[in-house]
Amino acid sequence: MHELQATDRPLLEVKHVTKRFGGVVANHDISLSVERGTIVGLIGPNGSGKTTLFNCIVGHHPIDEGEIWFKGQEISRYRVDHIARMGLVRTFQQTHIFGRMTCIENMLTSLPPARRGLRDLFGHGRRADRARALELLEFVGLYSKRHHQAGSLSFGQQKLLEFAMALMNEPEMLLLDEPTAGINPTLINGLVDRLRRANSEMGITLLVIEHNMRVIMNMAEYIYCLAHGELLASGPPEDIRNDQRVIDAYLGVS
Amino acid sequence: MQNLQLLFQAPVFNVQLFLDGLFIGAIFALAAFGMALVWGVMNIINVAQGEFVMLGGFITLLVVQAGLSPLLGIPAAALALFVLGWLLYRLVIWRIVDGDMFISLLATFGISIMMQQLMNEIFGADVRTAESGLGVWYLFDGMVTVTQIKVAAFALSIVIGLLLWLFLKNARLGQAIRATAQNARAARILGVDTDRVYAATYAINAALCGAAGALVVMAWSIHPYMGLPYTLRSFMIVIIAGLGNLAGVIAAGLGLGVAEQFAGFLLGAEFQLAFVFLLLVAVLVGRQISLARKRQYLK
Repeated sequence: MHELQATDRPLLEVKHVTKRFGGVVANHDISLSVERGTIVGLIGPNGSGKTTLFNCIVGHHPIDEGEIWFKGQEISRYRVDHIARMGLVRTFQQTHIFGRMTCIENMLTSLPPARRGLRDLFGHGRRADRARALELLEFVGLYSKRHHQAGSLSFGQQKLLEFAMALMNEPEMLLLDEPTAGINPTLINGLVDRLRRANSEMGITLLVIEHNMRVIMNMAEYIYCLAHGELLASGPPEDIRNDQRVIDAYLGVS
Repeated sequence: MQNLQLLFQAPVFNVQLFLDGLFIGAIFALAAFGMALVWGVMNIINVAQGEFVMLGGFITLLVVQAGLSPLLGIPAAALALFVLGWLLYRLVIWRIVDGDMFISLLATFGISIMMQQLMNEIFGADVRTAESGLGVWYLFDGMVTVTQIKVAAFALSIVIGLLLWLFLKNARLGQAIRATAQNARAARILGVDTDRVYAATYAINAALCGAAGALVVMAWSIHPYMGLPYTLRSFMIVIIAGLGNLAGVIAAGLGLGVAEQFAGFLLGAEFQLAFVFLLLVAVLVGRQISLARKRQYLK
């Protein structure tokens, strides 16, 4: 589906990124890289700078130092919508959906960037797009809600809808900000399964912020841990699980 | 108030006033729809709204001067104003779209003054009209006259309004416009170029006003300083109807048209505009009171 990259470079590279808000250093000299096709976790206590890093990567915040590369291009200065059209899409901790539209309309707002002709601007949505939208709503378990106003859904359902909308965009890489937060615990396993399938079947590379350790340790192949805006540790899940610094950071011993 | 008696003695005058009110009211509703669109999507109150209508009228005059049918003025004005709206966005509006509402009021007010003076320089301050070539219907033994162009203007405004509504509801760009209005940040993250959406929104509004202006110059008349009353009427209609309420805009537009006609007849034509301003004050005060009530209720 996606064009092959000639280079062996990682899909996403964050190089020595620093972001300050006034005197507060939210991210300090953070470097990480995500290989194509993998699932990578990003953990850390509250306020450690995970969401800020997401905001920097997708272009919400201009970064103060460092570089961000995606698909072999430097994207540090690109606009949010431009980065999204390159195939890098994120979801939010607090959902960002269109509350006064139905689920299916929400899905069709998130059409992939290739559809940009006049006919697509002024014409009716293509039948194939609708079919795809319904398929993805089915995939996240919202098919029966397809004609409901998105604003009337529960928070957990809104998160699922946001996930489906992100998939509709046919991204190459998805940044997920706490996908299981607010989801009914009985549904979490199902969601994790869908995240895995998005990765294995749709070929989408995932970078996931997650507080649920059981989920992220199971899912991710590699984990980065932030604390106080700095990179504290990185490695495969089993190493991170046993890393004393990570345990201390989470328990508040600094 | 002698005219009030007249309305009772000759009820057929009511029909005349009512029809005239409906015809002009549809034009008000059209301009107000555009204002609500820009307001809702970009959070800008476009003070130059009435000037767009005026420009649409003058473009139709140019079409007539070129020896073409004034009916061709409708698409010509819409197209020209679309381009102008896009240019204005790229020159001015994009700088203020995320800013304070006061700044956008000032900027669009500046645009409106510039257009007034420019048209005054080019065309002069005379009142002008374009002859549509359509005839007149006489109803009730000639007591009620209905010019066919007014009926056509009424019908066309409804068609244009409906087309825009369908466009917003179904077309890809329309969907992007609605999405941006609801949550611009979310739209951007899905790859929607919100800057282009804003430009398109402003241009579509200008085109809408341009078409309205073409209808105005054929069915009524225009002059370079006609804009402000149109802006205020649009503003008032949007305040009454609320954003994103097309049915409300139509109802308020037609209602305002009718109310104005009756006020003009009863108070004298020279007080017709004064009535509009008075009504605006009354609406704003009424809104304020109802809002204050709501707040108390929430506590």
